[in-house]
Amino acid sequence: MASDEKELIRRLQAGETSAFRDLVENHKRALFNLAYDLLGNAQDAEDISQEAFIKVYRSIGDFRGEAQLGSWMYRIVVNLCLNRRRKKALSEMELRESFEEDEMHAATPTSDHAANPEKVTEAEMIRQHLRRALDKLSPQQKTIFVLRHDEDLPLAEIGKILKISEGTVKSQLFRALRKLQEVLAFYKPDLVS
Amino acid sequence: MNTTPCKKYEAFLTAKIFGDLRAAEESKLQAHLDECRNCRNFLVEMEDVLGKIGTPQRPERSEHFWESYWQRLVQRLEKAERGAPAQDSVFGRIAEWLREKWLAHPLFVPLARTAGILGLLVGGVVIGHYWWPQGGSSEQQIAQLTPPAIPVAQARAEQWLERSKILLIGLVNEDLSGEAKPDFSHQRLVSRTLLTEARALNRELDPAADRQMLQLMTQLELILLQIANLETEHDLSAVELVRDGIAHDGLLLKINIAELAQQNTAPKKARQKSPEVL
Repeated sequence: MASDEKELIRRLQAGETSAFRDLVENHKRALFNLAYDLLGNAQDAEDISQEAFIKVYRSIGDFRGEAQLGSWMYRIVVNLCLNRRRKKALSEMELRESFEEDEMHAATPTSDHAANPEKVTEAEMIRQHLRRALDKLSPQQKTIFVLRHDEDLPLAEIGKILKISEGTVKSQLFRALRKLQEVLAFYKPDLVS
Repeated sequence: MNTTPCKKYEAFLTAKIFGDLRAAEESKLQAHLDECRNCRNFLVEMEDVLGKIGTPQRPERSEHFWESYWQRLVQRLEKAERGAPAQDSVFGRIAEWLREKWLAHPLFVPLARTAGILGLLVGGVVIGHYWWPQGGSSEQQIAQLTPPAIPVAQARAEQWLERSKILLIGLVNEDLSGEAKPDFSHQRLVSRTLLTEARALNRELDPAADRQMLQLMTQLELILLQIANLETEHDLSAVELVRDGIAHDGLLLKINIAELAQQNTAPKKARQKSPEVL
């Protein structure tokens, strides 16, 4: 653990407000992005990221430095997202959410192609299809894929975050890849022609 | 048709795709790939998948959003601290444990329902016992029904005023024209008693709050002194002087006004005065 991080943890555990602000400023984008990648909704992403910071604020006294601070916070976000997904599934709100999500994607400045269906290229269509396929994965598979591919975390780190072995991470990731492979098979030239 | 890789090399292939393969594993996999067309194809297909899925497209948030993030977080934290019990408190942990262990239990709903009904019954009995008016009047109920208490000195001053009034009325209405000579010994005695009490009351009453009462008492004390000093049973001229003094000063009227004023202001003063109350 870097000395800077140790010092930050010491300040946090001493109850320094400025330390907590430093922590938030340094990690707010990462936690927001992770929550967004897992949930696909900006409002939920902010909600979850803030909830994670509040959890950190309340339980920093229990943090013993066995994991990196960032990994610990990622784990909090992942758990919160999994709980959120579970709750949404239970309350049968996912259908409505997907409609809202589609609308949001269409309005998002970064998805210019989606804003104008006529300009959607084949590559973009495949990309969107694959991204939607991620939602069909099991929560754990999707989480692992997002952490590895989108967040670029090493497999060993993902194992620590999810408290599973590196072997399990690899096998779950392999299954995720296989499912995405099935989606991509739909666009194979031989089938299209 | 998708390519299915060899099961034995799934983990290596996955690690290779994401660049997590160790050096020792790399050579082992490479040796296999040189011989296995399926695994080679799978590798190519997976690289294609990852290339096509690309990086995640996230909504662009304005600078204002990020600048005000801290403020929103602080507000939320304050709200959370004020509202729900903290997760790391004893009650928070118990609640969390209950949620995790019992909410999903099949017996939770019937048990909770039964507990709720029992709780209502017990609550009703407790509320009825402690809050519903009982047959006998308790000290608390009497206290609630009793008008606001009046400070001791003020109450004694009112009584003193009332007794003085009675004395003066008796003296004013005394028939001095009759053949029988009036005896003022009783009035003298009462006057002396009232004067003694007046001295004590002068010390006890609040010069600011009871200023009007003290002024009236001073005037009355002069009259009472005259009554107390009536020397003989037949000192009619002295009695006439006292009567004139009562009339001149309008003492009876002033006493009536003071009593009316006391009736109106007594509850208010009772709340403001010292805790020594009747």
